[in-house]
Amino acid sequence: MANIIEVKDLRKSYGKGENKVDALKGISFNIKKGETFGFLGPNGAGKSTTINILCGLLSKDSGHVRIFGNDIRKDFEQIKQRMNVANAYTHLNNSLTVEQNLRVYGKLYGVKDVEKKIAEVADTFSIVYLKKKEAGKLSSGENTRVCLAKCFISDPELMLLDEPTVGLDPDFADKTKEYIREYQKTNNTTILFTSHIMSEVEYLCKRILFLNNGEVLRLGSSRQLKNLVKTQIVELTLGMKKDKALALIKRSGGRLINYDSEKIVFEINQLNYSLHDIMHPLIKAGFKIKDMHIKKPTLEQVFIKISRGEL
Amino acid sequence: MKLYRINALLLKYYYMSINRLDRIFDIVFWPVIDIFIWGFVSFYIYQLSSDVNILNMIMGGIMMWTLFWRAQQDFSVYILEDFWSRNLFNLFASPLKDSEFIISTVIFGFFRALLTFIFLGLLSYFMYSFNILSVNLLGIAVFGFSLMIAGWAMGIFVASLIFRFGMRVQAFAWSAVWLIQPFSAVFYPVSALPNWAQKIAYILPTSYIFEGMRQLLSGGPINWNYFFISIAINLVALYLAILFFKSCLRHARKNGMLVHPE
Ligand SMILES: Nc1ncnc2c1ncn2[C@@H]1O[C@H](COP(=O)(O)OP(=O)(O)O)[C@@H](O)[C@H]1O
Ligand SMILES: [Mg+2]
Repeated sequence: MANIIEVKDLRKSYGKGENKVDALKGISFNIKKGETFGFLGPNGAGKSTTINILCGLLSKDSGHVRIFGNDIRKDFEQIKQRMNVANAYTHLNNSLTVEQNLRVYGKLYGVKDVEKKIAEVADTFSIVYLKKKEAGKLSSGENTRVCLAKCFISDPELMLLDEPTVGLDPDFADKTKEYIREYQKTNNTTILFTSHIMSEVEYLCKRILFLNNGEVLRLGSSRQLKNLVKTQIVELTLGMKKDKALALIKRSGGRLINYDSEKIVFEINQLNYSLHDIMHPLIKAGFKIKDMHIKKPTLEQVFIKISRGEL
Repeated sequence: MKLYRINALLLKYYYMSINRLDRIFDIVFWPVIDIFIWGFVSFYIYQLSSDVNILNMIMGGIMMWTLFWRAQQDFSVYILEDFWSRNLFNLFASPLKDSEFIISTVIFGFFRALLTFIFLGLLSYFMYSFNILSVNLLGIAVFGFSLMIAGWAMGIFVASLIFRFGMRVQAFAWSAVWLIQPFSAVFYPVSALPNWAQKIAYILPTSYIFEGMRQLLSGGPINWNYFFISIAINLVALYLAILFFKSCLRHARKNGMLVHPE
């Protein structure tokens, strides 16, 4: 399958001397046609810097970037014509109404039937009631929706979505993520997506690239990333006094996280121990197990562990 | 270059002009104030000296000056609005080319300046019976044209400064033209300037334009010499301004000004 985005050894730094920040230290990745590709990483990892280079707002220091097979140093307008961006931290022109802004952007992207398209995106992102409102007077959630509408108005083949759901209420965030997935499937759109909401990233993205400090730390599906976590968390409810059980769990390799009169929560490092190593001595000692939950690692845990350098 | 993208920006400027009272004020309010003040001043001097030329000189001067001032200011202020809005991100992520950006801003500035000019023409006719059309029309047109180019060059230069240094220098958008007004011989001849100031006047296209205008206003012929000198200086200035604009945009893309306008 063809690569829509090819990034090779991309480097970017800001400032000079003491203030110099190496935002990207030579990152490489490819995004295939029709793929939704996620960027994860802590604040300042370099996600926005990468996206801003891809959409021409920033220049790179070195490295190669090809979009739709074309070098961005040439024919960037033709490339930009086929893509669009949404970043909830940006705005449209404050003194134009939402509708006027959408019309101007529709025309800038050469949209054929602009009025029809405005009606369509306004409906999708529930901004019909905002059409006559000045863009400078929107709440942050409203602005987020307007920025999304601006992105979808040109039916781009490639979307760069940098935290596009910031400020949305949970209900709308949920609808948006479902709409993006639906739209992506129907149109085979290629999407580069960042968010700090792990469930969105997991729901939308086939592959996830983990960035930290301007470097690629991991790249894989969310399942592959979660498999990196080699610890398992077990919640155990026993029917009798626990003191001896606690000692047994510790002795057989479990790491106690917390416990109360009902529950014991412990972690097993799967590299060295298995669940059986711990449960077996407990059962042999005559403990009755009333309830047991094994918690799968979440993307959130993976995020935290990778960010802290524990993975 | 694509016409539909230029049209899209023209549409945006049009909306900006009709939505905001202060943008309409720009076209009408300040020029009217100027006409009032200078009109009464020249009327008063005319009563003292009975020199009908005085009135023509000052009224013609103020109308032409407005043309220049508007051409420059529109260019800079319209760009500033996108800075204030944080709209630059979306604008520069669009397929818009730098050249389309400049051209559409120039075209719109031309129409706004023309509108102001016509408005002032009518006003000074009805208030002071000063008829700008009674002056050599071709002369007004050619010097007016040259003046607009000067305004654009200056507008592009100021816009470049904004892209380069951010909103710290936004005051320039309104004040830049007044820096060169004293040397532009708007209301008095270059010869009235002290020696050192004359040297500055000679490198400004505006001084030739206003000298030429004054000859027209006092009934003289078109001074083609002055016209061509002003055009030559203008073209050089415009070329340099565009180079500067491109270099400032390069800088803005390097340090992230378009992403985090400050
Ligand atoms: N315009 C800028 N000037 C200086 N430093 C910047 C600028 N933009 C971003 N940075 C720095 O570059 C690094 C990466 O930032 P960014 O790409 O925005 O991270 P992310 O989007 O992953 O949170 C951070 O250390 C940030 O402070
Ligand atoms: Mg970011």
